[in-house]
Amino acid sequence: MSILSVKTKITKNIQNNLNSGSIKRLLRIISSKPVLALYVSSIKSITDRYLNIYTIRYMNEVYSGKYPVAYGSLFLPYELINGLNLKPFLPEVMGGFTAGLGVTDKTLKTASNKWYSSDLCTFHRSAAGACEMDLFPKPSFIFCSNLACDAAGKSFLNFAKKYDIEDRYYLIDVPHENDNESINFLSQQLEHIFYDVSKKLNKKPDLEKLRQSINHSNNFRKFALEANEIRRNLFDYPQYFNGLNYILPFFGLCGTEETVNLFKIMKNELRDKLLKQDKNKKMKKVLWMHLKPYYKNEIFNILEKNNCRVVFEETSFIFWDELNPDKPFESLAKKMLSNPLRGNGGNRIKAMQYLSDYYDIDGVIMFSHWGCRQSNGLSRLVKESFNSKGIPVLVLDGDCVDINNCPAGQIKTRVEGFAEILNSI
Amino acid sequence: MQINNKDIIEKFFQESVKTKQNIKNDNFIGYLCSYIPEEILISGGLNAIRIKGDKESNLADGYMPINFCPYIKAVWEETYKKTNNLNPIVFATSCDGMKRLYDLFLNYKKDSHSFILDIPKKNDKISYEFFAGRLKKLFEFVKKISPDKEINEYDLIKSIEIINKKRYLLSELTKIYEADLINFISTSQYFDIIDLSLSTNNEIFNNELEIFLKNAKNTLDSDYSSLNRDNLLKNNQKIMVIGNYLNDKNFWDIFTESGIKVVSGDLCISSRYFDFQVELKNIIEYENKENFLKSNHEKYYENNIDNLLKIIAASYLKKPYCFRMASLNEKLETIKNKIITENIKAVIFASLKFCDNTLYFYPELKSELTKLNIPSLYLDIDYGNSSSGQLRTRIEAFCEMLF
Ligand code: SF4
Ligand code: SF4
Repeated sequence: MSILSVKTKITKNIQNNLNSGSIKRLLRIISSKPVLALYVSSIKSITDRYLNIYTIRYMNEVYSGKYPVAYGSLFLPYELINGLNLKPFLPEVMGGFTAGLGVTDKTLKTASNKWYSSDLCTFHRSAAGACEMDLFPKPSFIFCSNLACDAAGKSFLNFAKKYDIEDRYYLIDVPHENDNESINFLSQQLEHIFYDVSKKLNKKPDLEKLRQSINHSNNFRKFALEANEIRRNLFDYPQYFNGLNYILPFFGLCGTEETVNLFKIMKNELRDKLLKQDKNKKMKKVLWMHLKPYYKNEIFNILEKNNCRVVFEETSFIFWDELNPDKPFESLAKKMLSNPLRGNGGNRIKAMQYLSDYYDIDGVIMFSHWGCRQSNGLSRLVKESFNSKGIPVLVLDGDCVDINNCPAGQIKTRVEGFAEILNSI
Repeated sequence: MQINNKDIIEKFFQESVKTKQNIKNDNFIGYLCSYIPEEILISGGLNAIRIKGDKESNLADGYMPINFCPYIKAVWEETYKKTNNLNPIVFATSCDGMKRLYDLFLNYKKDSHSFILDIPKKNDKISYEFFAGRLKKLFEFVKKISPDKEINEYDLIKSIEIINKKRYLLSELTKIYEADLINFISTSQYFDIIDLSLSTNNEIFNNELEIFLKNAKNTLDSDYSSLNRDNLLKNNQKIMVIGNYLNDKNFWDIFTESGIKVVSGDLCISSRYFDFQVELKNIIEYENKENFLKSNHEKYYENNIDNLLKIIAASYLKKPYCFRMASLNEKLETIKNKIITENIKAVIFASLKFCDNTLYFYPELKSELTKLNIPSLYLDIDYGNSSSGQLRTRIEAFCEMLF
């Protein structure tokens, strides 16, 4: 059987048997050694291959029912959650997966039947629909923060109600400013979570495990920084490599050994590519802001065909300093507070300007995901700040999850037009 | 029986209206969220005005995406258009949109005074402490921009008392309005008075509202004695409206004109604004400014201000929750109780468009209402556009179905 037909079969199977039982069964089958080997055999990039193996095995564990599962929103200090030996499950990322699997017509419809307005972000709407359809594993804990936006705090509360675990729902309230009072306020919350969750798990608080998780996070950070450094001069990427595919390990599995391995492999693979790269190769360098559509789309191919390459993504930015394993809560609080999506939009713009200088960027694409108030509300200022430096910005209206809200023709025309501008400079 | 709106405002709130006009040309401090303590804003001698914005948001469309809260757009429209003499504004971290509004302000109105107040989402001890620290910063900001640069604890206590009184009187007004079976105060009139309370001098307004309430009580008592209360109760059809910043005369007029009584369930300008007090009991004994200042003023100055701010912080985080807060169980309970005790027939959930905090609450509310067998109508509203025929038709059709 060819790999393509395996993949199509799996996708069809999920589409036709939408329930957590069949997802669980499928994951068990795919994660068995021979099937997994076949599944990843066609993936050319070793980093992508490792990512697939790791993710599938991980999801199999999450769905197995053998471990306590913790739902979490994107920008949490996952070192803490992994340090508590919980298995993170990221509903927003799963919202993206639903797009990849082509089941959003069902999840989004379920969400609207449950009165989720179509004006809301589809990552959350699709996740809410999937949760309502019982496609997700049952959580033992729910964590979220308001770091980038308010959506998770709200939609995750509805998950907690559904599973009747409101006493195990934790909203990490991230202050707007970054000062000593904020660090203190945030570290107290993280410390409380650590001890409270340990108590609810009937376990002695294991600071040693937390320290280990922080050390893993530091190691991952080191390799990711090296990989990011290599990307400054790289055009010749491994086939299908896309930094936006690494959201789960970068955030949710931060603090695990596997994520360290993944970024070590990535660094090595990118370095090899750089060494072999044709020195004369030149392409227009694009910085990607926000997330990408997670269903099949042509955006990156169009860019490639038009001599443009996304050389860096906002979500691959290592914005935080090394963590101190002896001061875990304070370090994690500082990490959260240094996220450019926290606070005034000026923080984000400053970070993007830094990246644009660092990568010598020719143009910026800001994907304007429908319903993402926090990001889209800044698009005018992002545009102005780059334009004043002579760097064109394309604010690409679309939807990361709902293919019906993202007309391919329109996207194609706009991306091609933008590439033309970049090539004319 | 019912007096028309013009009468109420002209007869009882003349001075408040006049002052409101004068304040517009004067130095005041604008603010944008019910979590921003008015008592701090006015403590240095300035009037505090909740910014309503310019509802014709044509220009704002160029600065914000199409799917953005119309109130936020309206505020930007108003502030951006003012080229000089822009009054100081206090923003809040109410929602994602509000933070982006502040970004625009910082970028295009660099020379104006502004402050963003960081409001926690939880109601626990560490949040109170954190919020008190943030209120201290707000207090310092107010000191900087106020005519009285040296604000002491006496001034702050005085301000708390004024705002407490306003809150108390507005709660009394609400009680009278909600219990009023003969439509003495119409829905539009009730919301007109609240609107005035947000935009004029508090002491003048308090005096006038006090007189109005006395009058209303007397009139209602004498009217009721001559009417059959049971019949009135039977005919009284109450609808609860739940939503965010619904402060639009046109919207309330739809109900008034259709003869439907809105019980001001849960809005940014109703219970969330005034249904609480900043408890001053047990803080400091004082009679008048002189005596007060003669006492241990020097010694207690810093501490007492800090204490007061802590009390304000706790009171505001405990007040009837806005949808932005973390847990909304208490809120759901309050809504449910009110529906039962007040014999509410239906709920209208009216949200200014694209307000995530409000929209995420609706699935939960809807499922509770279904359990209670209470019909509900969902309306998303364009700020300032609520006179639109479609809205009116939907509300009227919904009410016809009910009564
Ligand atoms: S896409 Fe935007 S609105 Fe949606 S979860 Fe992410 S930050 Fe929030
Ligand atoms: S109505 Fe909603 S979106 Fe608008 S300012 Fe208020 S909380 Fe924010």
